[in-house]
Amino acid sequence: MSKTLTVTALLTGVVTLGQGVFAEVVDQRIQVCGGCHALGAPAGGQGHGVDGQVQVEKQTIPPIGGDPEHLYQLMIAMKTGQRAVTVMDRILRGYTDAELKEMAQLLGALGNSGDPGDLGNRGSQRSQVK
Amino acid sequence: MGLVGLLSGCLSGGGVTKARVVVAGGGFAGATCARTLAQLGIRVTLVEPNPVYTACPFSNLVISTDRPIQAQQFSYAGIANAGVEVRHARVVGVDAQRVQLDDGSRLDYDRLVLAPGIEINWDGLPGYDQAAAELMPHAWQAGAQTLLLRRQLRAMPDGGVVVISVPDNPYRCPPGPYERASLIAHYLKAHKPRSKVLILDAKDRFSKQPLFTRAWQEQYGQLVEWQGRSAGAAVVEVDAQSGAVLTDFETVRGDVINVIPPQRAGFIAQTAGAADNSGWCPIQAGTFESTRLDRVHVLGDAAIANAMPKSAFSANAQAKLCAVQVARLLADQPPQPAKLINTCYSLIAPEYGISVAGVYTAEKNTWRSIPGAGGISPMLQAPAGAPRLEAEYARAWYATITREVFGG
Repeated sequence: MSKTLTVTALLTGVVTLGQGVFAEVVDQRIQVCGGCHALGAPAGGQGHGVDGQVQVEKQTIPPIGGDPEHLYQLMIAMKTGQRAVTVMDRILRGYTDAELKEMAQLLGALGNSGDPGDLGNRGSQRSQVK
Repeated sequence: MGLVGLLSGCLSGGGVTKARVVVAGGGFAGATCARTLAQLGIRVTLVEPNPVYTACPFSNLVISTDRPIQAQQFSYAGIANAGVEVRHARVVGVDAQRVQLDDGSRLDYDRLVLAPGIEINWDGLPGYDQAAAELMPHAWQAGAQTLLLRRQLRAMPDGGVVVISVPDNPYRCPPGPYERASLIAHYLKAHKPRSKVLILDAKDRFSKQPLFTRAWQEQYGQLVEWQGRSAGAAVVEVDAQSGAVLTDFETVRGDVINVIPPQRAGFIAQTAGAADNSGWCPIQAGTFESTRLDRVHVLGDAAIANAMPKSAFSANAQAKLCAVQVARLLADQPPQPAKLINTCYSLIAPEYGISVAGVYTAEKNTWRSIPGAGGISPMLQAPAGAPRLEAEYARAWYATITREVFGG
């Protein structure tokens, strides 16, 4: 039990709230990725209309996750322009390589296995969220 | 344990689970914050007067008749299901311990998060009051105003002039007026091609300006005309009855007049005293705590977040970080630093997107842009297909963020 909790804590950030109550949220360093990439859940796809009608929208932004080393290499390739993208190069330049390595560890631990590239080989390596 | 503390910051404290956080305002900032606090196991009440939220991002497509308003609307059921107590009431007063609601009840708080968005500054533009807004819609808070502007656009004869008055900074959604001009031009090009969109701007420079300017020339030719402050185009008064706006030099008539007026932090921020003389709310950058009120945080459009624009993306990013900081402060833990991102897409046409991005760090109590990062979509050597892809990503972003905030 304590091992499970420790591992979970390492991976996603656990906030311990007194009396053995544990709540999990995504680590604050990668929370912001969820603005587009839907962390820890299937990406996009459904909105919830007021009439209970589910609105389906096309999803093209892949979930991020998978092997941390692979993810790190992808981010470096996008940051340096080796991999053609629309916006991620502009964003990744805001982070040091060390920060990206740390974020790759945290993102990899979320359990998705997606490929975040876009113009390079869009969709070709995309896989489903676990 | 050491590793846990190192990597994620392990919070522990006896009083945390009993603590109550009240969030006032259920837009992208407040709803995100309430939801994240609930995920953290914190007792949280979201106070929002409207039972239905009508989102602003993508509402310009409603005006251009390319999208139903229903696609902008969300109930709070998903947020309630996520463990947030949702109260449909209006906050009418705030003191150091509790908030007063318009239904007569009071809510005690340990921490209060104000996310009231904007209100129109009805004193900001002579002649522009609530009655004038029924003739010259602002459509800068989505809903009835959005539909009013669409009705006017549909009713306008071919050959008409649509005037868009744009205020000086700061205001909600810096590129929004120019996306609106683009999408109205898209509608006119297809349905009323002899018409024109005239933008009267109180500024000389605006968000994504090179991209908009080029795209207007490419896509719309003479259909879109922009005039800036240096050309004397700033609107200084409106005459709603005669359908005209006044600049320092002339009276400009329009068949449809969209006045995007000066704005300030929403009502409750003003009443609570969280706003300063600028009309907006100064904060301590890293935690979003008000510099004017103890144990009160301010998020989203209402806050002065310096380099971060007033956008739904910013609001969502700030809110998730703020929730973690609130949890840590309640547990007597130091706040954790984190960088934030903003990415704003604008549509030139439904299948033509452009973007601006930024990465921000809280330094010296200011949200600063990290040099070398961010910027607008490349003007030159843009990868083939990028505009279409950016339009797709814009839609995907909207689907993802609205599901994250309102889904379930």
